[in-house]
Amino acid sequence: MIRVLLVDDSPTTLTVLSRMLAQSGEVVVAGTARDGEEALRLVPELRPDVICTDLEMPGMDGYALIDTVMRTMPCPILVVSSYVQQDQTDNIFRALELGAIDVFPKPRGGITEAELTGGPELARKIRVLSGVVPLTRRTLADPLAATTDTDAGRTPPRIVGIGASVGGPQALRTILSGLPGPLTTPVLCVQHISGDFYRSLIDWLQPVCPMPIRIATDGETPMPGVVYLPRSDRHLLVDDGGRLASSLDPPVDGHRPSVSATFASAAQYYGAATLGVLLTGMGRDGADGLLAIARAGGTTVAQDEQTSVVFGMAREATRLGAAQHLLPVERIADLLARRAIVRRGR
Amino acid sequence: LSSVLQGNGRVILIADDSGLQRLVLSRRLQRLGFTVVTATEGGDALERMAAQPPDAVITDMQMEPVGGLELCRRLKADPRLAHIPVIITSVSDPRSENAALAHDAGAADYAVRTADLEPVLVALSRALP
Repeated sequence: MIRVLLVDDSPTTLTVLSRMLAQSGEVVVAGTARDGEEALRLVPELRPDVICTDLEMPGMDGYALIDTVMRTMPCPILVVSSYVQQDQTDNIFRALELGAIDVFPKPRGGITEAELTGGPELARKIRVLSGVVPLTRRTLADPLAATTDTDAGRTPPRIVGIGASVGGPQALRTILSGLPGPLTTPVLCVQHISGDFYRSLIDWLQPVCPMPIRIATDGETPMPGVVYLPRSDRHLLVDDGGRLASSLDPPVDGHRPSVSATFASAAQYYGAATLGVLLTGMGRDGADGLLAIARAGGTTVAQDEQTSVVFGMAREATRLGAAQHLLPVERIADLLARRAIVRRGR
Repeated sequence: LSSVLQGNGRVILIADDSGLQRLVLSRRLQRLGFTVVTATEGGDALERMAAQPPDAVITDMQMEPVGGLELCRRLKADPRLAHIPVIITSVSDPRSENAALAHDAGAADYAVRTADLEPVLVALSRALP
């Protein structure tokens, strides 16, 4: 059983979360705390596998708790918070900078409704996080072969796709902040997120990104130098006229939006002029899509194991032979800058 | 050849165990004006055909439990369905033995699955009456 510590100042929320997890059969609530200080006292005693914490609490808040835990006794942390942002500085994704791994929307509505709709998803997130080793990086057991990085003979990309799941927001921030300037292609970016956190994600990424980041509008032609995110619970596709389409087609590999759906639709329209980047995450979404890009003659990149929070989707892509480049996250911006920034002659 | 392909409401049944392939192919066919029915394997496909016989079937070769070759054989053995053209697809090379297996099973054509779907659409335009 996976042992979890729940931290929230609302007794009602603690009850709802406990009941959401009671059905899972794999997650047990080892303890609850009403604020950061109480949680800090409990962590050494309970040794939880995962901590789920609210951000806004009287006394020691969630940000301070995450900071202290990650500096003194690292443990995977899931932030459970509402969508509401009071101002730009109060952003749920700021918790990721302090070392939290993922975010989950705080249940709203009645207890029964929350148990039914959110319980399995919350338990799944906690299971993924329980397998993550925070901070200490695992060593690469069997180095997977990465092909040599040759630019010669490659079609310059006209579209870039980036896909990520658990650990993705942190990796995206590293990549976007590492770009020397705007790419000269559009960027389609699919990040698996629970609930409707895309607006928060954009607000958190935008200050470090040299390109505007937007939610895609149906029917719009993607513009060079703009990053597009999907609408909540929609696939983000390139249709055969080259325009963006939000689609309610069934989930692919368990996800909507699906990284594979975006990658495959981009490869269908742009062919060899497609560049796909598959980042950290659990499961296999994105692997088939990256393979579609590689088969179309495009360029494919996967984030390596050592810099991935979860080496799952990228491992699957590597297993399929879909990843031409296996790179640490810090080097992906360099590759994008080299391939997808066309300097116009003077 | 596929650029003149028009669905005009004709019904295509897609059998594929990959959600991604079903999505990609069905969206393309719908934009060409076809009506699309999807199935996740051969048995599922045959059940759906009994309810509504399609104008053509596009099936993946590798599916469990009933794959594309077996789906094609069963369809050709059913007098109510035998007239329906079947296109068998896989990601393998068109010259491989898969093409021969597909023709032996009674398929109208074999097409390799590429990102742009062109070989599948060309095969469909040839196979449709």
